[in-house]
Amino acid sequence: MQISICDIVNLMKNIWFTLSDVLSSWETVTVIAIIILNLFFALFFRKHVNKKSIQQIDFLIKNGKYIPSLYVELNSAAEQLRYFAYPHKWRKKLIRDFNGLFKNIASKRIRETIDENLILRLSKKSNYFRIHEAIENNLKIFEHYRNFPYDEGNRIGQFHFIIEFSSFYYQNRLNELMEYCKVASQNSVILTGSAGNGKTNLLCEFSKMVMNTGNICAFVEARKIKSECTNYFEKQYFTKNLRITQTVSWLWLQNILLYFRRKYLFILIDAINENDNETFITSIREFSNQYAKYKKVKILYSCRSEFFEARYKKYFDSTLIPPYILNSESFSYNLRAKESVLNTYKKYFRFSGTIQGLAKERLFESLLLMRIFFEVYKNDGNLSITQLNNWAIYKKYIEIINKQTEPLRFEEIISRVAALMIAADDYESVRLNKLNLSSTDRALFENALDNNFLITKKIMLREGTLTEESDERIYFVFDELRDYCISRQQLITCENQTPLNYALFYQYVDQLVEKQQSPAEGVLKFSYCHFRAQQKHVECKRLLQDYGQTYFHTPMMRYDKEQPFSSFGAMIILTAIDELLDFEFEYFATISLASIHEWQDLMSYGLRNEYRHNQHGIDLLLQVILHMARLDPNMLKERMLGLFSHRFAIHNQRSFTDQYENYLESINEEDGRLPIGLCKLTIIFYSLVPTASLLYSYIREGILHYPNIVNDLILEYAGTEIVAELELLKKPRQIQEPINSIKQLFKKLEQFNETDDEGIIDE
Amino acid sequence: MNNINYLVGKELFFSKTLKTSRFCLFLYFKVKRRSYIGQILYRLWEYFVKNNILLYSEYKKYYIREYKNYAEYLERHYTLPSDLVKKILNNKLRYKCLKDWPDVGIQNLVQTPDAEIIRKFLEFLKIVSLENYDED
Repeated sequence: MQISICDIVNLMKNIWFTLSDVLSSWETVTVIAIIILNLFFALFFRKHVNKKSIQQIDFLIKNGKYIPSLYVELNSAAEQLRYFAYPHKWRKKLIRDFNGLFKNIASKRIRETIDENLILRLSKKSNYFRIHEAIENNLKIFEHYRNFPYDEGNRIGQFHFIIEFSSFYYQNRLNELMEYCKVASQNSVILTGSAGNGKTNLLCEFSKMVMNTGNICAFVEARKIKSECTNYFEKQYFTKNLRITQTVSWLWLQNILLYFRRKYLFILIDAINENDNETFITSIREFSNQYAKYKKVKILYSCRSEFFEARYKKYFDSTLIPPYILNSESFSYNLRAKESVLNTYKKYFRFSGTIQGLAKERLFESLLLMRIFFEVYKNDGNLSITQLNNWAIYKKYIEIINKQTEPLRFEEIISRVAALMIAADDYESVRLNKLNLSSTDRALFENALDNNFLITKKIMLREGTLTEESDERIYFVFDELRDYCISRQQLITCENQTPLNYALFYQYVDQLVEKQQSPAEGVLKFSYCHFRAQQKHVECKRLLQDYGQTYFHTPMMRYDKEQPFSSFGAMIILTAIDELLDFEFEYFATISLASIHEWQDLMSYGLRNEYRHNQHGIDLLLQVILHMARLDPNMLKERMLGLFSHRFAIHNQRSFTDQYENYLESINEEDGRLPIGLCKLTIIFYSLVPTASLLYSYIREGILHYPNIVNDLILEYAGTEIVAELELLKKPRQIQEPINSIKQLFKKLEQFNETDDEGIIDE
Repeated sequence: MNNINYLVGKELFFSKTLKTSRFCLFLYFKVKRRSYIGQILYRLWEYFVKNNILLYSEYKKYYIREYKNYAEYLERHYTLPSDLVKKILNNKLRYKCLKDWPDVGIQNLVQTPDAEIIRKFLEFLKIVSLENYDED
C-alpha cells in the first residue's frame, strides 16, 4: 500500500486537532504541568538532599565527633554495610564466595560420603532467597554432623571425625555469608555498639560512599529531630522548596525514578539514644512502617547498645518488617587493625613518643581508653610509655574536661555522683535531680555529656499505671571510670579524717565483696595503686591478705587472654606499674606454692612477657623462685616437677618441655643468643628436674657465653637448698649428656636400674 | 615485578606465575600426580592458592568509587602498612584468606611446627611469612 504525503499531513492534522481539544481544558494542562514539575524537581532532589548531608558531615567534623583521617576499617561491619548499600551488585560476590567454599577436594569427598542434599554450587543468577535457602540447608547438615550422631558414625566409619571437625570451619564461613545475605535483603538496619566504638565515623563514611556512587543520602543526627520523624523529613527534604502536600505520591514517584536509575534513597539517623523526646521515640515505628512500603528507600539507624535493649528494641520489634541488628562489637578486631588505629591516632594527635609492651596491650583492649589516652597526651613528644597507669590517665582527662566546661565544676559533679551512688548502694545510675543543679549549670552539664564520661537517660517509672512518671538518670559510660571515681571518693573521705584511719574504707570494701557488687574489683585495684604510690605497704599487704583470694569471675575466665591469672591478688599487684617489692614477690611465691595452676599461670605469663620484651619477664620468675626456695624448698621441687610432668601435658595438650624449648629456640633465633636471665632459669630447671635433660644444649651454650653464671646463681640463692643442686653443675662431668641413639638409651636404662637416686648419673 | 609473595597473618598476597602453578608443582617436588604424596601436595596447593581473588579487578568492580586509587584500597581495606603496599603493588596481585579452610588434615599439617613439607612448600611458592601482623 503506498502512503502519500497527503495522508501523512492529514494524519498530523488529526493528531493536532485531537491534542488541541484535550489541551483546551485547563485541568489537563495543570496535571501535565505538575507531572513535569515533579520530574524536574525529582531529578534535582538528589543534589538538594545530598547537600544537606554534606553540611551535616561538616558539622560533625567541626565538633570533633567525626575525624575523616582517623577512620580505619576495624572489622567486617563496614563490609556488611556495603552489602546493605549495593545488594544487587554484591549478590554475585556472595555467590562467588559460596561456590569458592565448596570448590575443593575435601568438600567433594564429604558430599560423596554423607549427603547428596549438600549444595556445592549456586548459579550466578540465584536470588537472595535461593542463596539464603542454600546456606541454611548446608548449615543444618553440618550442625547435624557436629552433634556426633552415633548412627552416622556406624554408617560412614572413621571419616565421621573429619566431617565433625571440618563442620566447624564450614559453619564459621557459612554463618558469615548468611549475615551478608540477611543484611542485603533488608531495607532497614540498626547499628549498635558501645561508646567510642566508631558508629558515627562508620555512618559518615557510609554516607560519603553512597553519595559518591550516585545514590541519595539524607544524613541527620537524631537529636535535631524535635518532633515526629515523618513530619521532620517531610518538612526538611520533601516539601520545603516544592510546596507539595502529598508526600506519599512524592515518595511513590521517587521510588519509580530510582527503580529506573537503579539507585536508592538512604535515610541515616545517627545516635537515636541521644534524643529523649517521647514523640520522636514513639514515632519511629510509624516512620519505619511508612517507608518500608518503598523498596528503593533504605533506613540506617545507630544506637548505643546500652540503651537499645532497654528502650528501643520494643518499638522496632513491633514494626511491619523488623530491622536487622548489626552489632559492631560482635566482630573481633584483628591486631593489624588495632596497630593501624594506634598509628593513625598518633599522627592525628601529634604524639611523637613510643608506646610499647603492656601499655600497648592495655590500649588494644579498649578503643575508648585509647581515645582518652591520646586526648590526654596529645602534642606530647619524647615520651616512652611501657606501662599504663589508668588512674593517672583518668585524672588528667577529668582535668581537661574541667577546663573545657568552665565555669561548670565537672570534677565536683563527678564526686557528687560517686557519693550518691555509695550512699544509695546503687552503682548503676543516679537520679539527675539529686545533684540539685541550677538551670545554667544544667545547660552546661548537658553540653558536657558529649565527652564520653557521663550519659543521661530518661526512663519511665511505673509505666502504664496511674503513678507513671519520667525520671532522668546519670550513668558512667565506662565501668572503670565509675570504679575510679568511687574509690577516689572513699579514699578522700578516709584521708580527710584526723587521725588518718582507713577503717571506713575496709568496712565499705567488705560490704562490696560480700554482696559481689560490680565496683568491688575496680575499687580494690585503684586503692591498691593509691597505697602503693603513697608507699603505704601495710595497707597493700592487708589488701592482698584479705582480698587476694576473692573470685570475682567464673573459673573459665582464667583462660581469657585479658585475665592471665585466676588469683585476684596477682592481678592487683600487676596493675601497679612500679617495680615489684619484696612482699609482692613473696605473695607470688606463696600462691605458687599453694597451687600448681597459679605456678603454671605465672610461668606462662613471665615467659610470654620475656618473648615480647615486656616488663615482668624472667626477672619476676627468678625472684619468685628465690622466695619459693626460702619458704618451702621441697614444695618448690615438687612444683618444678609438676611443670615438666605428663600431668601438665594432659591439660595443655603440649608438654611444658616442648613449649619451653620452643620459647628458647624462638628467642635464640630472634636475639642471636639467650639473655642471661633465661639462661639462669634454664639452669635452675635443669638442676631441679632430672628429666629436663633436653635443656642440656642450651645450658652448654649459656655457660660458654656467660662463664660465671653458675657462681652468680650460687651467690644469689645462698642460704637456700637450691645451692646444693647448683654446686653439682659446677663439675662438668655431672652435666647429663643427651640421648642420641637407641643403644645409648638402653645403656642408660640399665644403669638407671642400678642406681638408687632420681636419675642423675655419676660418670 | 617482585616475585616474593607475602603471608600476612592468615592472608596471602601473591602473584600467580607459571612456576607456582599446579603443573609445575609435581615437577618441582618430583612426585607423581596420582600418588599419595602427590595428593597431599595438591591439597596443600589448594589451601594456599585455589579460589583466590584478583585484587585489581575486585577493586575495579566493587571499590573503585570508594577509594581514590588501588594503593589506598590495599592500605585501607586490608589494613596493610604502606611500606608493604609499595612492595606488593601490582595489577596481577592475588589474595587468599587462609582462615576457615575446611580441609582439616591440611589445617593440622600447616599448624604443625617445623613440618619439613610446609617449609619446602613455602619455598616453592616463594612465600615470606610476616607472622607478627595478626593474632587470633
